[in-house]
Amino acid sequence: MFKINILLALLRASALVGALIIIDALSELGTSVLALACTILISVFIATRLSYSNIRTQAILAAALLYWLLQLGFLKLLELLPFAAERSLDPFLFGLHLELISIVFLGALLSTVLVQRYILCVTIELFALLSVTVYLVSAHRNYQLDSPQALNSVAWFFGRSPQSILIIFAGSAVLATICYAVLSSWSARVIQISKLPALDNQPSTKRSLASSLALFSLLLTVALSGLIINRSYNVENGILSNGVGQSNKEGTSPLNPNSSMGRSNEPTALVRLEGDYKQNPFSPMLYLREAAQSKLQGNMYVVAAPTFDADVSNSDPRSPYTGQIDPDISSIDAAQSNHRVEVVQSIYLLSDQNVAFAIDYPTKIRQLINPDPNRFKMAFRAYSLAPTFKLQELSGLQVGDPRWTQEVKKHYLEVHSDPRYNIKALDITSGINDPISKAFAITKSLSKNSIYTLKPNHDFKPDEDPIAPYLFGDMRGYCVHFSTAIVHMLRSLGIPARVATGYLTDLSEAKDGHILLRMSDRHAWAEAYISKRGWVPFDIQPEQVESAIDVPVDMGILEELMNKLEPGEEILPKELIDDESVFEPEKWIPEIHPAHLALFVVTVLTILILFKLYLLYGYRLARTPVAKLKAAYRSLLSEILDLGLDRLDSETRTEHAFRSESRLGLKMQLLAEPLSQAIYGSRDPKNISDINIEELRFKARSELNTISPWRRILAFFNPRSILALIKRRW
Amino acid sequence: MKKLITSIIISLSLTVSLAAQSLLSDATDPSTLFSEIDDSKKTAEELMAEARLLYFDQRYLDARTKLLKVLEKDPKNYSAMMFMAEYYLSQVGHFRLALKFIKQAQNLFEEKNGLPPYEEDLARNEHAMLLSLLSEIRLNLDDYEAALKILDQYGALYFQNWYPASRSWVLMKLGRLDEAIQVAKLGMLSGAEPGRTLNVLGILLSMTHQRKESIDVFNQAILYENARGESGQPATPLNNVGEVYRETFEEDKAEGSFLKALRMPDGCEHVLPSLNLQVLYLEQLKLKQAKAAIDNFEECVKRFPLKNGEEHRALVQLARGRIALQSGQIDSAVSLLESAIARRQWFGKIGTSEDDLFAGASVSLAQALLAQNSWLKTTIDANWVESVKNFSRRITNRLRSKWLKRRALQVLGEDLQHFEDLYIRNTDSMLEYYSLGDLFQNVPRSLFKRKVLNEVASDERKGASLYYQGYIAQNMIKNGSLKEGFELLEKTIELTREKEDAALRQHLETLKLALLDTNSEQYLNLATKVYSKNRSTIRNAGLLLPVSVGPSLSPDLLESSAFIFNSDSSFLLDWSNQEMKFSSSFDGTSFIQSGPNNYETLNKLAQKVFRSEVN
Repeated sequence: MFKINILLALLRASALVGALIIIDALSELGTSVLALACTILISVFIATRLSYSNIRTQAILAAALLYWLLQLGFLKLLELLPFAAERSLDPFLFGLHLELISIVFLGALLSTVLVQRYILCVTIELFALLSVTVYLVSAHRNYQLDSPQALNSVAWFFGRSPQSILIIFAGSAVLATICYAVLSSWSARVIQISKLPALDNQPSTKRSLASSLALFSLLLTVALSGLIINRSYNVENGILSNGVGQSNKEGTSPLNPNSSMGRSNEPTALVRLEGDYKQNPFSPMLYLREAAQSKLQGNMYVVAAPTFDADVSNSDPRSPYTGQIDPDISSIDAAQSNHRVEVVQSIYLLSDQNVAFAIDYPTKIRQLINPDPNRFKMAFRAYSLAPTFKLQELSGLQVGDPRWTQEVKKHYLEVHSDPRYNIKALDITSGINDPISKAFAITKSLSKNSIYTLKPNHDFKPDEDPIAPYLFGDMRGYCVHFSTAIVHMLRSLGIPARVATGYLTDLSEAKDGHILLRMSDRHAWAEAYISKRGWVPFDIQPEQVESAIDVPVDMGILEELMNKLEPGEEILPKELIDDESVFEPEKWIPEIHPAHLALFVVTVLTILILFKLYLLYGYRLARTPVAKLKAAYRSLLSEILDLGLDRLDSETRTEHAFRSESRLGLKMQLLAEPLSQAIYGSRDPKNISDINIEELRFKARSELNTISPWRRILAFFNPRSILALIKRRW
Repeated sequence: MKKLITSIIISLSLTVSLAAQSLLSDATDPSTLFSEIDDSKKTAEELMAEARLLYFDQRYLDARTKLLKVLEKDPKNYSAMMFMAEYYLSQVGHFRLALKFIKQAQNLFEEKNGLPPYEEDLARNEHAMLLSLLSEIRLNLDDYEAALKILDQYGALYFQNWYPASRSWVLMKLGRLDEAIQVAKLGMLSGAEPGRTLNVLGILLSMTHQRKESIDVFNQAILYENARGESGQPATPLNNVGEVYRETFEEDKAEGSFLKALRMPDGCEHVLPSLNLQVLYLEQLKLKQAKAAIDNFEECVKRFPLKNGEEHRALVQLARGRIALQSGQIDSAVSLLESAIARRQWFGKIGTSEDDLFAGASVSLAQALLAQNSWLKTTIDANWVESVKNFSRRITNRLRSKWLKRRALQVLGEDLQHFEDLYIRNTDSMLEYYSLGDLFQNVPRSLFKRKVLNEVASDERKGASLYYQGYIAQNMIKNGSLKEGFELLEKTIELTREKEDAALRQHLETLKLALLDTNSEQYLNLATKVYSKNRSTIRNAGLLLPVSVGPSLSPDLLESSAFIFNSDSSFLLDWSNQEMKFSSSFDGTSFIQSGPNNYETLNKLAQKVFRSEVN
């Protein structure tokens, strides 16, 4: 029985200490975790002992309140101490630590006592835990399986997708909750104070209690692990589409009016620029194109036959690709102009990608050796002829390519059947003659009037135009709406245009030329063909935003991945800075600050004093005369034990009383006799109430007052009686 | 320091690069280096020379790629290793990787040349450069003891004019101020590089409260840097002298110095002048200017994409959060301040530390959360669901705010040397001094008073005493000495300067306002005054703005809103043509809001009324 109690206390204490460590990792507590962990340990053990005693819960609550008051008084006393003026706030700072320790102590103590005594409290605790779990998991609603590094690391380690890890995580939480609920609902589990002795004969009850507490620990750990994941990383709402990357089989990109790709922070690739690209006309933004959709099919654009959009690779990243260099738009062969520059990029995929993407436009794609198959799906290098022209210098140039056949021209100028696109385009561009200025006017107008939202909630049937409710309605939408509307309008004005998909990333969030692409960087934008320049993005930046767009790049992930690629890994010896003190991992055991140690000592002393007070005067709280007599006897017993006179295992009360009298002159028999009579039935327990226990105790211990005060003070701080109480020797 | 190292490398490498240029007579235009010649056919030396050219042409990624190719061909090329270390130190700020490269370079160097001392000039030069880079990297990793050891080693073997300043700086970081001053002063006598040495000396003098001397030293540094013409870097001493002026409550001079620093070619990408300017403007409640200072900085820093903004991101978020809070954009303030508190950044170069940032951001976030509570409390809930939601939000905010303040106090008291930041306008601190009383109001009165009186005794600045008085007054009011506290508060308000102490005055007036009867004339007058200074203050503090209402509106409408009825108010709320209008006869401003019902319209209108336009 005793061992089971210890085991239960240990389980609960470990769960609470685990929770404490996790909370400290999330938000530094400021007080030594070691001191707090010891507090929990002591608190749970005291609570367990109290739960199995016959002390009333009200008395425990009153003691807790008394403890709190004592602590406040102690702090007030500290304020009076003559600290040096410049350190006059030290008592206050000390008080902050003591306050936290007291909260932890009382929280652990009361919750343990209540959970062990009342089934209602088990229910409340279960409810609280479930609420925490639901709160944590709710961030992942709508299949939003974000990119916490820990989750991804686990996924990468086991070679599973983050989604499956999350499902396992949630499944375990649910299973643990069910088990806990079932076990906790066994009515016999709860300790009935009035039937305390019977408790010893209920081993099955104890087993269920042990199991439920073990599960409680598990559940708490799982819930708090989730809390770490959730709090430490940006988790936002959104919708994850069906896979990353455009699939040729699908015919359309996953980016469509029904799927915004959301704001998921899930990393999809790491791009490393192998050289500078200072002339980027869109700086600090960088477009990485994956596909072009130029064929108008119904209301939307889809990927056209391979004879069109030859500047897009449309190839699997694993297959080598060599594109044609268009001498008309390439600076490499056109010495008189510098409209393009060679930019080499190495791309390390973190998710499956069906089609290679690169900076506009790729001339060559080659697979690279995967530097870390545990992290990266694959790697490839793209050689692009990237634009260097200035956007402000485009005005006045011709649109379209004079080399195009009629069929190609018709393809890129096929207009939507709804005449309102043309009317709107004409309205925006009235008074402008230059086609490129018209294109800029359209993007400017849409930027000003559009409202960015991931959930436009437009009501349209499958055969209806999904863009019309945006452009001719509330102007709410996301990149698919914006780009398609621009292309519709440009084509209606005779400007060859198409929708491009891929990634749009902010170079100011890059480091050492390394860019972390995320699902939230998935983007669709409009492109118009400009003579001698090629396909040029015409993208909008909505001034009004309903769903926040920017989710900062997680620098931790970026650096971790960079370290996989950094040249040091290949060139530099691994042990180079292993002995560096500045890079030593954090010590698991926190450093013990002298003030915290002092705090711990004070806390232990306070608890000791409270225990002693309970032992000495707790008999006054007893409900029945027999219990009061027993507690008074125990009080005296504890006093002489601390003075060094133990009651031997085989010794009867009477024998011990005689020994005490001969050694210390105490009259223990005054209490031992009526107690033995009450226990062994020779005296009616009802008659006990006639005895003045207080007086008997006073008489019995009168000789103690003759002992030297120093010896008595030392005896007061002797913990032997507390240990005896915990061991339930009495 | 970083710039100094770069300049050393540039000077040492220029000779080599000139030689390299002669080797590459057919490839002097860096833009032609890639496509025309196949790197695999070049020797390591040729690639190294190209890397240098590219580096000096500021094509850092191209240079990095070349250096990697050098190391592929010649893995024992310690010069390339040193170059890589310099690149990661100066251009990327990846100090851990920089350390790896420099340590490997040191191993390879010693493998080839043996242990120091060296007789050959080339080996001596290279070793000197290696040590200087190593000490610089150590310094950036906040490993000051190790940096000092390396400098000692350097000092025993070589002397360069940058050495005294570096040594003095490290000593300062280690808290050995007197020794640091001595080194800097002796350095000036023994031919140390004046600009940097004077700068360090100026900082040290200001830290030891010798402000007049410090200003003189900084002025000398400015003159020296200006005399260097285009290669001069006057922004740093200008910023430093501005900080000293700010500490001495000479705000106009401080503003002038910061503005001058920002106009210098080396000033705009440096976060400190912009941050200092923003703090100065915020103390004067010039919100637009404060925002513009940060906007300009961010525009400028975009020119340095490789650095990724890590050096300043958290500080900028903190500054923006505070501006948002003052301008009544509470949700935005909370989210910005949360980002500021969550982000870690490197602080080696700018004197402040992670603890400073944490303490400053915690206090501001706690204030923003309480302000959010005040806004929620003065918003009329549409239904009971919203009421419950807002109520739970307010409880969470209150608890978080309490926790943040507790942590801030702990950090200030335990990690920052017994509230060293309580010294008003401590330039390294990230605290907002005008509202710091919020943090100390829960500290027991007797203890706090003793602490502050001790500060006052060692601080002769008149301007600072106002702040100390304000803190004591707030603490007294909170701890029950209402009458005494109120009197001190009034006295302090009277002593504040209209322009320079605008934010402090506003904070104290808000405290006073909270103690007045909302129906009194005094409340009406003071509330009108506070509102006219800054629109959000009253609502942030959870106070109500007295308004009169037009004939078409009932005063009962104002219940639970951010307004309170007072027929004498200069502000009028009226309803006509499905529109609610707030107009002020005090300053002539007005706001209009249309909406489906009175309550919703009033809520939306209140959002406008208590928000300042900062764009």
